[in-house]
Amino acid sequence: MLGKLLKHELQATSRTMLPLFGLLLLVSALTNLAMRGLNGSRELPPIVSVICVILLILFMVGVMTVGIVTLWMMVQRFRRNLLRDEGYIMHTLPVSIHAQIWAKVIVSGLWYALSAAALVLSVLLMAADVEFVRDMGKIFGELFHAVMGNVRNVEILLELLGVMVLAGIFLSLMLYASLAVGHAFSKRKMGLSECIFVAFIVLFNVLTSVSSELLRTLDIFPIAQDTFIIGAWRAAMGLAAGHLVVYAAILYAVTAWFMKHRLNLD
Amino acid sequence: MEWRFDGSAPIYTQIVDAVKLAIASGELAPGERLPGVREMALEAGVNPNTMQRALAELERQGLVFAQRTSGRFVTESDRTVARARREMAEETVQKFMEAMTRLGIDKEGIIKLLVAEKEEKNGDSGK
Amino acid sequence: MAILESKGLSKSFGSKKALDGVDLKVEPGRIVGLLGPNGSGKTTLIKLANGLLVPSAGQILVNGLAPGVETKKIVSFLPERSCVPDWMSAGQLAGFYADFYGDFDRQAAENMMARLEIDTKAKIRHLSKGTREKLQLIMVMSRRAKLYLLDEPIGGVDPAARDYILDTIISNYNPTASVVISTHLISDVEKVLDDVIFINNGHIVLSAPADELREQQGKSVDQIFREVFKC
Repeated sequence: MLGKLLKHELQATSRTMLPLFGLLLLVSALTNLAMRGLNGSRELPPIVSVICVILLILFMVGVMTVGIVTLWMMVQRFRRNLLRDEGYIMHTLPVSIHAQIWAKVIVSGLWYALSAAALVLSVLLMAADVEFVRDMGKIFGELFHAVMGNVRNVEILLELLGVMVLAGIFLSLMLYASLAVGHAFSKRKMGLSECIFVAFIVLFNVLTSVSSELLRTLDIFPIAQDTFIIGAWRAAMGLAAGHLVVYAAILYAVTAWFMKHRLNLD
Repeated sequence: MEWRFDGSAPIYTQIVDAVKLAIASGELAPGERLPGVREMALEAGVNPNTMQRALAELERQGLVFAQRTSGRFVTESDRTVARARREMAEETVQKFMEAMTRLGIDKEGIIKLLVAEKEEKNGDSGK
Repeated sequence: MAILESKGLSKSFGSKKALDGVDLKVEPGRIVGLLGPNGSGKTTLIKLANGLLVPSAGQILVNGLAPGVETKKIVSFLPERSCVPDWMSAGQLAGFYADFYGDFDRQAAENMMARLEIDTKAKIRHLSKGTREKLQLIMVMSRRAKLYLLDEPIGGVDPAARDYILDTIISNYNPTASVVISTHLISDVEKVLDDVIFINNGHIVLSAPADELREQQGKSVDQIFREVFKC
């Protein structure tokens, strides 16, 4: 059943996510042209320059917002699909609540990864300085070269991306849990959800402070002494990932418990 | 067959009466095959369970009979049809008499009225 | 065994008691009217049976089990308002039901959609409100479920649509299944009911076979309802 949920979840979300990515890449490509126009030696009519600048601004805004928009979409999807009217359909499917939450977590994780990839791609696209078609070939060539020739760098990049995706999942689980708890009440569901979200932030900040204090006193992980070397980087990533996984597990348990035992659809 | 129900009696008895009337009046011919339960229920706009119950009652009274494979049929016995007709006529007369009694009209008065009604009818058709 | 049973079932929202110690039984093969004025607790009861709410006290059992994955396999639910994902097409919606419910009769659904001339490729959002409601009923009645829970299926529809809805229920229901229809429009559904349950202020007021009531009181269920719930 999880497979079927995933299939429908992908169908429902790709409807909005793919055009979003498409738009981002389109804006990047146009920005690329605009940049070349601005750098070009020829004198441009003022109107064209203005359009170029607008495109550049659009690109920057797009890059900044695409991650936020993805997160927002995933949270909206969770709320609309499971906690509001569509919940009548979703919660009467013969599917466990765990499958429901996993479907959301997996698909949102996938979209975070894809939006990270789309961002990287769009930056490359924007910054490429030769003709468009040749650029693409060059980009992939460089990527291929990077993968083959410098495994370590790619690994670092992948680790970073992995932790970022984990952070995205952690953040959306935090939002899911807040919504699940807030919507268990009969009134002021959204207001309560927001309060609970703030409470979670405080909680995890406290937990992180405690655990880093603990790590320092135990002297297991001497970050302070080290300069930036691979080992330290790796350990920091591992530690961050570990924390995120533990926190995500707590949030998952809270979400599942509330949706199973305190579901309160209007 | 036209289906109309009121609140005065259980729906299944109203169905029984309607089918009985159709048989007595010849609207449903002896030996005629009845539609399936679901079809009849849909036509009457009632629950199939209710239709089933009514048909069972009609079977019990001998007005319809079921054949295991081919469905339900109206009885072929003239005597049963005649008996049904008589029963319904008697019921109608009984109701009529009750109503007349409530109006304070005695038997003689009733007979007078019936005769007058008959003459009026004859007169009408004579014109 | 009763297909739907509640024992001492209560549900509160804050300080308001929506249901208070409800005991009821629905036997297999019956069409049951859950009748009561607005706000009497009908929808709460149906939501509890679907596991969309959790009881405050007491229990509700479907086929002997508390609501869960197993009961959802055999319960077909029509919510009081249209809540199908409206970005799908009618065809996609049928696919969705077929994917999740082993008892979904896709052929039956397609026949009914064809009869109503519903464009299966058009987005549900673009269908009329009446068509959307019928579409959802078609999905619900195309399942070969053991228990149908229909919450206000005829609320706010015109007489032709009402006849369509009742016909669809009668012609799709199989004699071993049970149907619970919640409504406050008694005269419209009276003919199709085996049993009636009157509910008021979260209490069961009366529960009896419909024909028995008519026989004993010489009145229609609608008349009895008006007397019981006289303001």
